Amino acid sequence: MDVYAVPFQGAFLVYRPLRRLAFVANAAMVNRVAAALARESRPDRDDVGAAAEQDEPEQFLESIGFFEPDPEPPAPAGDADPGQARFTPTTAVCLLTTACNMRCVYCYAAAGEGGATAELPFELGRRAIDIVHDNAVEAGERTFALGLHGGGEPTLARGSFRPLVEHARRKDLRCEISLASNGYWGAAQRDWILDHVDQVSLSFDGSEALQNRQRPLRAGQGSFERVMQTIRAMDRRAFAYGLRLTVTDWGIEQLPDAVAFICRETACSTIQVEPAFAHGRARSQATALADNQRFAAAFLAAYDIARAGGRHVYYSGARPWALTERFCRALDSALIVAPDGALTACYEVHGRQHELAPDFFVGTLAEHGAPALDAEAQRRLRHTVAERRRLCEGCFCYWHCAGDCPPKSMTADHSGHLRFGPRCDLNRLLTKELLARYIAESGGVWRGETDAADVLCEVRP
Amino acid sequence: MNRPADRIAPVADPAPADDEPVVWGLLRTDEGLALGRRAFFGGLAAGSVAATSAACSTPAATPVANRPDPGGAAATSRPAPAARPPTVPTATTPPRIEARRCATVGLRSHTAAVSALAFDASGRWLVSASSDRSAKLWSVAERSVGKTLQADSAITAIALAADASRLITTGGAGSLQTWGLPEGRAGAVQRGPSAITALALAPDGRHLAVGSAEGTIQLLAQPDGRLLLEWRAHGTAVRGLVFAPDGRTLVSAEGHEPIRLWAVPSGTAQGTLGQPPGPGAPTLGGINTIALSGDGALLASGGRTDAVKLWSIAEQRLLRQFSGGPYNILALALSPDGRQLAAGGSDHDVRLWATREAGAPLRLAGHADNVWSLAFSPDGAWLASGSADQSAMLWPMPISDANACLWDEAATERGTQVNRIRQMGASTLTLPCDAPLPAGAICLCDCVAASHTYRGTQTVCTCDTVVVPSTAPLPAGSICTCNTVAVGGYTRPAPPAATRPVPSGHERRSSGSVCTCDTICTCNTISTGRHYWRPN
Repeated sequence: MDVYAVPFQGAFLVYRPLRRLAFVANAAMVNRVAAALARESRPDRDDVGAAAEQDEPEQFLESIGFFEPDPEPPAPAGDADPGQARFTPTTAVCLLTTACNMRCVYCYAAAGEGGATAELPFELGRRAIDIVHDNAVEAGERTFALGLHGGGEPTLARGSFRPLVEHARRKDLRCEISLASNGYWGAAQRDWILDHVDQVSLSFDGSEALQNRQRPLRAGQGSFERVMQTIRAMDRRAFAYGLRLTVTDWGIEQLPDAVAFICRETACSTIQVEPAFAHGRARSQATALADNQRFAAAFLAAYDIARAGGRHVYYSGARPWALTERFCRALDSALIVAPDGALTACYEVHGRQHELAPDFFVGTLAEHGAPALDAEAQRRLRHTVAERRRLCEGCFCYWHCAGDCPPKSMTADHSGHLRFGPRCDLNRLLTKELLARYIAESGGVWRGETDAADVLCEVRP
Repeated sequence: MNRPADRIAPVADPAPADDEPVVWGLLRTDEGLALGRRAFFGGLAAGSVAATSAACSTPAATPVANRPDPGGAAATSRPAPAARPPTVPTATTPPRIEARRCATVGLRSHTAAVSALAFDASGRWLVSASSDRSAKLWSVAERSVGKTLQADSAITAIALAADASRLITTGGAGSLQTWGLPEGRAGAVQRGPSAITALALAPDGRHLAVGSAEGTIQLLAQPDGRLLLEWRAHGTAVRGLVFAPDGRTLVSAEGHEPIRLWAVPSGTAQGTLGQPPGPGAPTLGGINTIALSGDGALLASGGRTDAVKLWSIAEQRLLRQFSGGPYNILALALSPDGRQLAAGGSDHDVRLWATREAGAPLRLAGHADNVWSLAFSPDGAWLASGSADQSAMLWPMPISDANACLWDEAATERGTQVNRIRQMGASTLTLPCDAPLPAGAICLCDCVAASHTYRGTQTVCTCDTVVVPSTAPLPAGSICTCNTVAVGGYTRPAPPAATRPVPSGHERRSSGSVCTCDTICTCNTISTGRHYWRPN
């Protein structure tokens, strides 16, 4: 039985993640729970139970189903023998281009910089789609998936964006197509995208001041007006989209207002909020968020505002509404192809210049034939992720952040050295605070109810 | 940072005040979440008045941990122990829960003040009575009216049989109307004193005690209404009558102390609680109402005084007083285990004290007028409150702001908008728009906004009976009821001009004849994988 007791405001948050049960208790109650669990686990438990009449705390625990066994945890994904895991992805993710019409101050890819831009050739993208489609057919799946991303803005890849979508639509199985974009579209392009794509994750920082300052166009003009036109068009169509806000050191205090703006002006139901991490332009322009406490406070304020408005705000590292054995399944089930044909295990590690490329690049794709996979690189990365996750055993977030985002939990010296750090602190803090909110809203005992609708911001295979 | 070690393990050397296991409720405050109050236990030892007394007289044992902790260190900051006499001053500003206000948003239970409330022994049924000449039988699970009983006059007092098979109502004018439940069939009219002020039915249903404005008590045999005994119990009008759980003791009160205990059916005096008012002291208003705990060990009394008093029946003495209530207390209720004391009165808020602690009460702000009636369900899971604002509510225990309106369409203003929410256990709640989900409720579906004019609420889920996995289409023919429900003569607005396409994996929900939502249905599931977090 997976039971945790996490310090909370001088008391303890008693938590069973798999059972989805939580309440707040004092130290004496924690001791009673621990004693009861020890007794439950004894081989002569029935005799003990018969002899000892249940007292009130145990009656309470019984009444909330605390002694019921855990349900089956999410199935492991090759942890037991990471080297032997088969790689038959049913999701293709095409990193279409490094070109971008924006110059976001925190862009992890520093998109649009560095001279010549690269664009994924149609033939490589088509090959990726064909491979995952065939894998899906072989696995008996009814659908497969295509994700369109970039180290830049994917809709700018004129030679591959629409042709790949159309190619995916022509396949035998239905393809669920998702697009991660900045939403700076013209009217005709917008209509085409909304007609042909299933889901859009739109990067948008939530208010005119934030958007224009943090997500300016290449020439420095504001992008707010046109992106809002895109959002309104999606609202008019009841299109499935999510908004993704990035929080910089400069904009942190404005996050609650930004979420309030979104609740007021849009129909977006799921809003992803992520701190800007020190990479790419966030590093060069010093916009990364340095203070986790400030982020946590702003996030929780935004969460409460969204909750009152019937919306769901989430941060990828704190998701008590999810039970999973993997932070991200890209490594296991997505064929991610970079513009130069390199296969990467993470969207964020998008090019060979990335400092983690040696850890995450796992092969290459050619126009014909099977992908040339670097089995040793895959094995090494799986092993590292699995090792990291084992280090997380004992953490109450174990089933939620599940070892956290691999590139954010690994060092850049290619040693595979794993560490806990500020992001881990942030994940734990926010997970705990969200659980406390669930408990408060449940009247004292949380039994798994959440406000989390299906997260449309996800880019799903 | 070290490797996390959160798995549960015994806590070494807990603070002395942590000797007793406690589960806390959490309250929202302006500063965020706080340990609000003792939620489940840690109060009186079950059924043991002696234990209560001992605890009261032992400073070290006085638990104070459920008091609001302005400093945010609730479990470590310990106020000084209380000393005798047992009145404990209110040292802190009472925390106040702003709950939904049913009457304010048009959700009413009756068309006049709710004068009385009573649960049956199973806790499945609640009866409300009103000056609007009706009594209503509510399904607690469904929060819906099962039956409305029309009386000839305003109902001022009721007595409900433990098995909910019979209800007795009175308008005070000498007659006692009996009703068969759940059919709501009017039965025989029994005769009582000419001016009836209080009723109590023995738990076994064999005796009905009827108090009068003249201070007499009549004991009527049930179900035939035969007068068994009448005696002068008080010098002024009887304000409260309650039977002990064994049915062999009756407690009565007039407008001042002493409260009197009587043997049943002999009517022999068994004792008193309190002293008569001294010379020159007011003789009326000191007691408006009394309430007995489920085990019969504790009695609460309150009126136009600055404190509610808690008495030990067995010891026939005052245990403690609770300050911080309204000036004029009109209704009291003790939880079945005696650990929670609820009071309502002239300032519209319900107060809730932990009986062992006598600290600052929790204030439940949900009514818009005087609170006239209170009742705990037999399992202690609900507190019902009724008010002159014509509404009755259910408050979940331990308390949260997720109160539920007992809403009768017949008493509700036309055009009022409500949410219908399906609750775990196949019951359906009806809540005002903008109301959060109550404790224990889940949405089977989420209704997601589909237009930019949508105004979201905390609870936008109003789906019907179909649970659909994520991304799965709705079954053919399924209909989700939407979150705008017409009441009375509500006129359905014209549909939007443009038809919006429905995203892949979903079907547009037909909204039925009274539903006008612009919503699509997506499901509320636990994600088990397929997470792809896009980088900045």
